[in-house]
Amino acid sequence: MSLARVFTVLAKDLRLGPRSPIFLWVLVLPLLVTLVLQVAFGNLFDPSPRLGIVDQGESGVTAAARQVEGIQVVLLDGVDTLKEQVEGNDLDAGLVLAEGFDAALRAGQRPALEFHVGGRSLASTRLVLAATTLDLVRQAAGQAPPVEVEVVALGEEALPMTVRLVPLIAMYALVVAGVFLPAFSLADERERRTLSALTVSPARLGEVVAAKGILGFGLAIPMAVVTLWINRALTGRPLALLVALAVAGLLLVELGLVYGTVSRDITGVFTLIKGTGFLLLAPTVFYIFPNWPQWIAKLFPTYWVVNPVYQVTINHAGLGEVWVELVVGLGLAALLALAVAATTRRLRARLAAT
Amino acid sequence: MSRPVSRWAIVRAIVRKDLVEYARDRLWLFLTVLVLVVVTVLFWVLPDDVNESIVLGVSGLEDPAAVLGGPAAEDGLEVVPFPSGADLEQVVAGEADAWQTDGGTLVIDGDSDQAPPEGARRVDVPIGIAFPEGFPAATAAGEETGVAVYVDGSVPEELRTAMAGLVRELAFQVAGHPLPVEVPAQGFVVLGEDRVGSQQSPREGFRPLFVFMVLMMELFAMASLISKEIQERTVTAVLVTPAGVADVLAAKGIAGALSGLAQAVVVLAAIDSLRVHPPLLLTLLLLGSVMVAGTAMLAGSMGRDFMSTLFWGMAFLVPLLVPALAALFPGTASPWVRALPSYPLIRGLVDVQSNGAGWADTLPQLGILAAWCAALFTAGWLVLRRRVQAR
Repeated sequence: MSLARVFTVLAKDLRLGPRSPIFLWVLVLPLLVTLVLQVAFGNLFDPSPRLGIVDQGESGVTAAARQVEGIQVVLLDGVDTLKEQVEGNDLDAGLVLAEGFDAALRAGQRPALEFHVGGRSLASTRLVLAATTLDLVRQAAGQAPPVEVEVVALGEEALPMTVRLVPLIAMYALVVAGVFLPAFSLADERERRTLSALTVSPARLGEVVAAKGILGFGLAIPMAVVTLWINRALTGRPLALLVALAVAGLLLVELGLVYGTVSRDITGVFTLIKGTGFLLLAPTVFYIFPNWPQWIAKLFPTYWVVNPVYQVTINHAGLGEVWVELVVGLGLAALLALAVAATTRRLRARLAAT
Repeated sequence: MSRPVSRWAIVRAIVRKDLVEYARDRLWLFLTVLVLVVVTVLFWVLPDDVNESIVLGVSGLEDPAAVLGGPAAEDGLEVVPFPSGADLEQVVAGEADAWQTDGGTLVIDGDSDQAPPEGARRVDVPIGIAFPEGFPAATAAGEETGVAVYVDGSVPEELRTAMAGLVRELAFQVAGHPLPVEVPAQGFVVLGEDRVGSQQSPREGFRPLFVFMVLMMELFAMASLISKEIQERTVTAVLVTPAGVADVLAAKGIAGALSGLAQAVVVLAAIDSLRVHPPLLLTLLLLGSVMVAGTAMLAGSMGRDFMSTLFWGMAFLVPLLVPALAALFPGTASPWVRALPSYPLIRGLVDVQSNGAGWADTLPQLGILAAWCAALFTAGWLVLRRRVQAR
């Protein structure tokens, strides 16, 4: 194998590749998935209670409510807008604080508490907002509670949904660049018969396949890093992260090369990806649902490359803590390398026969 | 010497050819079946109820349900009494299990082999309040006491704050300090239909999205077939027969709409959605199918090969999908979401399936959707005609 020829083919792919929609997919899809999962579904699975406040007199209740963690506070100008939004389920509850509310509280005049609840808000949400509001009102009235409350957290703190989605999003970025790109690129060349044309040049099929692999690997790592950065999951251990991503990238690129060499055309690659895609991403679902039996995730080969990425980015693990998974991942990559060699040989024979 | 053939017969023949071709395309057939199966399975796997209650373990009070289950709590709190604070702490920490029996709550250590009593129900207790012995009397006498609120790591911050507030409020009440504000005797004002106890379940919420997803899948399949016909020049071959460009385009539209509608009806039946206003639902879906067929014509005409057709399909799909995703969230959709072509379809599906709306309520959505269908179908027709004539 000539490295010079590999890089000549790679240079050709880099020059002509961006004309293909798959390049655009590699760049755009991870960002799109981040947007959809983090902005849309992150909030869907972890909804925060939403409290609207119309404050007509700069009440201390408003300032204190904005400090409460986990409650979305929205300030509104008019009572009608507040009622409209509460009724339309844009807010779970609405609080109207009339001018002089705090002064009346402190003077013991017992002002009326105008608190509206949305008909479609959950009973538990109503309870949270009502209990919090009454607590804030007591504070604003300057009343010292006759009890000392200590909140004791037991067990491990659960990760928020936005964090639990990170492995899925990072894996998606790796799969799109690592699997899709080499697979579609090879199948496209085969469908257009440019692969046959290339192999009558001094370049060997193995060199073309290697160039496609390097291209996928070279895009998978930066795209994964960018995706992690967008998701604020870039760890302080860059070496461990790069090693974990490199092992994951290697395994996925090899898988992409197997897909590309066994498929007769792009449709074939598409069918393979659609049929097996869920197996590649399946381990990441176990991070989203930590109550599921986690041992099942280990049955999927991609677990051994996605878990080091998860441990390094989310749990700030070092190489010493993930080396077992990395070794298993490298072992799987070695097996896949044999598969790539076999499927490339078979493809060479088929091209020679046509 | 041949008989004159009617336009309708020509269109029908092309529709039949297109549907046969669709059925022979193994990729799209496989994906169509896969999507139908996945959507149906996912629907039935989703929970069909909503747990609105916070399960709260309480120790140190004689009748905690009566003390904590005041009007503010109503359906939002399920109180589980515990024999001691230590038991409660163990259960919240996950070191022991709590079983509810007729005689109270039984705590069994996680390492123990003890079997739960017959008929006992296991309760998951993520939050617990451990009141000290004699809390009511001490607080009423003006003594400051200490209360521990145990929370599992998964309990969100706002719930921890609210539970601490609940304990403080209870202490205020026991100590004889009424609320410093006037609260209506009948409780807080509920705006809109009060749906406590009858909230929309995740399964119901996803129902319109699943039907819509099936229609969208048709966009890819139809666009791919159109693109293939253009690339392989089978359209040109058809045009040397008595069929005209208008016949081909009409046939494409009908085949696309029929195929989309058929799949959507299969899904509706599989997810048990045809019981509410079936004619209205079918009308909405028919219009949706026409919209998808028009969009598929656009994507199929723009694509030069499989990948670019897929890309164009995706480019059209993403904005069309936004209203479907927005419908999953509570509240009113933003104006820009309401301006998207698929919004009236989604709104109509949600109104009919989840809110039981009828023809009169859905008429505005039907009107806007019909206008969008006409616009997209015309655009698809014009672009495809240009591509076909150019060949």
